[in-house]
Amino acid sequence: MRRLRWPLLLPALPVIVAVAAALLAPWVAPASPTSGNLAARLRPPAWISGGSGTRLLGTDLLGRDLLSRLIWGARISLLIALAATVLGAVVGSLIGLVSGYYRGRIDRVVTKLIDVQLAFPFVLLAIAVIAVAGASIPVLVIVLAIGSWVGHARIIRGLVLSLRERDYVQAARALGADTPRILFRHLLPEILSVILILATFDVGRIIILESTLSFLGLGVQPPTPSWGSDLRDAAAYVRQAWWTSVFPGLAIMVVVLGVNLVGDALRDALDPRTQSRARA
Amino acid sequence: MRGRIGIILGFVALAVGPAAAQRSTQIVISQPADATTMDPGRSTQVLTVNYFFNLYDTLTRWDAALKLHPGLATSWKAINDTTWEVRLRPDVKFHDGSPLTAEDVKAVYERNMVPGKTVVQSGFATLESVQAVNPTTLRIVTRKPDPLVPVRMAQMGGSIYPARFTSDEGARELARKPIGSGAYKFVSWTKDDQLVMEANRDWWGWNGKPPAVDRVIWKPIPDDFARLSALQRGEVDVITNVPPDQMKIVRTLTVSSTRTLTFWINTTQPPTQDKRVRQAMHYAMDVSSIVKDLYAGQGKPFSGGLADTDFGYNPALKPYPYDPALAKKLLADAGYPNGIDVTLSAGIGTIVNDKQLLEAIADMWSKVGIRARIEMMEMAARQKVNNERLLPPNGVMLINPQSTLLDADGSLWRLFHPNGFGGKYWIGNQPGQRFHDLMEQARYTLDSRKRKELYTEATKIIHEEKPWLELFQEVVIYGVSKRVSFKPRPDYRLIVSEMTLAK
Repeated sequence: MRRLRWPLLLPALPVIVAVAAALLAPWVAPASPTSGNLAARLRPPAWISGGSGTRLLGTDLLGRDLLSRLIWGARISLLIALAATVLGAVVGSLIGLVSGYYRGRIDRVVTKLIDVQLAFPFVLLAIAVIAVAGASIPVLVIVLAIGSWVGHARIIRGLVLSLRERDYVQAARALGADTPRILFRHLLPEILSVILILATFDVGRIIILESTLSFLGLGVQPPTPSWGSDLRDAAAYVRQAWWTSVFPGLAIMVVVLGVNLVGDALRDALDPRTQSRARA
Repeated sequence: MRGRIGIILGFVALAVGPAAAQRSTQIVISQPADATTMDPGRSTQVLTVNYFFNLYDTLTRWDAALKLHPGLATSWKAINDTTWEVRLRPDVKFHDGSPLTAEDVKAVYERNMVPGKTVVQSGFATLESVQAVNPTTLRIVTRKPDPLVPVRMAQMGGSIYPARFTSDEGARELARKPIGSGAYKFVSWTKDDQLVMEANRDWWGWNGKPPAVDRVIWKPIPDDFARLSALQRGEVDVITNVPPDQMKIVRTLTVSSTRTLTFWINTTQPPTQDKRVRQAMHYAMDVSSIVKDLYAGQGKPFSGGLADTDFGYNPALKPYPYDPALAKKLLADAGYPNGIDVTLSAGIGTIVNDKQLLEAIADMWSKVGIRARIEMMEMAARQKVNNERLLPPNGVMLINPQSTLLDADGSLWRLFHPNGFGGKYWIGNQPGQRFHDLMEQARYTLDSRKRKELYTEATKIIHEEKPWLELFQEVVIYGVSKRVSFKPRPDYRLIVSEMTLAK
């Protein structure tokens, strides 16, 4: 594994800030994210006339401090994205590992399942699941994981299909290693970096998906702050109060961009294939 | 860049110019949702009935001041306690040219009286039979003395269509291709895109004047923001459901409406079984701040269950003031010093700003220890809760009812009757209870002074017991282009024959 280079720090900055905000929300948020003052709704950011120094980014539709909403929203958005990513990556990788290693009937069933799900529009699936199970954070995490396991399963399966024919795997098998040992001691370490890279890109994608669902009213329920639902509520007020939609939108964009750039850097650092290509 | 935009705008102006001239007597109306049917027996939904009241006539009708006027009926009188004789306007023709007679009215009313055939049956439930004496004379017989017969003739579901459409098969045809006798006749309908109507020059109600509007196009636009933009761009002339805090950006017409915003509560189990808890929920809501800040002052707090447009309205009942300290005390007295948990829900799109309203109230309640979980439901899910009476204990749901008869009977008793939408949620409306007896007695009392007295006492019970939480009487807000003018109606009906156009 090669050393991570310094340019990684720059794109990582928004990610670090968002993670810090999420972890420290109760201490760094200047005001309550759910309690507002109706009489002071839609106040502009501090640097615009009419703004107040205690409401740095202005107030939202219910007179709540927008900055505090963003900080607490980071906590919810990142928590959901991370949980869904881990769940999707673990389940997807396991399925890919097993399916690629055993081949045969299991593999045929898994590939069919993957094809079926890839052909099914995700948002439609999410609407159906949430309509039945109700909108809550655990349901949201599971729905988002359902949307992300396929990518892992497909790529890991492909990798394992070729890896399992390698000499060292054959050798392990010849020496009498049992299947779990081969899967987890010989194959898994080999593909761990790929899983990590895939998962990093997934975090960004899932933040967007969660925002989409919240935007559609299917995600995080009020009054819990989330970037996507804040964006939706603010959409009708773009002309009167641009800050209510611009800042949550900006938060989503910058963080997702940061996550993806970190993913790129990780791939360059960890993936031997891009390295060799770069050298050639 | 600017030059290019100028050129593009020039072309747009060229393209739009002739069209604009052509549509000098045409208007486009945009509501948030399309009609669900053209059959007046199958919907009482506020947006859908707006189509009905332009296509069809009723025997009597309200004007914009909610005064009752002759419609298809020219006169009506009670010939004894349970029989009304109604004279019909002669020589009225349906849009297909066939004459409108007492037989048509009889067939329509009889269809409405059959339980399960239509969704308007409750409004016709007091009728025993309808007889056509001759083509222009009708007799309506009620089960018991019913003072509201002239008003029932104006209510939703009272729209008259040819008798042949009252069969099940006929009704299906009517639902797609309506034929009435109203001021506007149906031309075409592309679902969720547009519905076109054209002036019926033979309509009896023009009084010799030509119609100001020749052609009406109804174009549903669900998104508030898009609807406002369409009005600003001049693509539409009239829009409904303008959010109050966006009123400044367009020309608006407003009037205090017959609809009230209330919260259903299931009061059959603790903690909301105790009226002190319900009163506490009330004292903990700053309704005047909600009206002032969230609804731009458009709304009037009320108490006692009735809008000020309804017969039986009791002006002596003052809305509960905002008093969080009292709310805390009431909760503690009721045995909940640590507060209570409730679920606060609304159908998405019930009213403008509904989600913000719920969040604001949850925030206010949190200050006295009422912890509210907010649930925004799809309209279908909300309809299910409504129709199947599924509101759970601790459930609080936003509704905005109106009296279908501009009378306490059409709201309080329609909703709180043991068989009504809220009948299951409150013990106080059961037979043997004072409220029940007052409402039943009033329903069949002909003397209006006596009825008023009965309702005065009944509304006091609502004020004191708070079987529902009462927010404010809504304001109807239309956005209109400069060339259209009309008097907005408190009953939410949008009637094109009442509109005029600037030259």
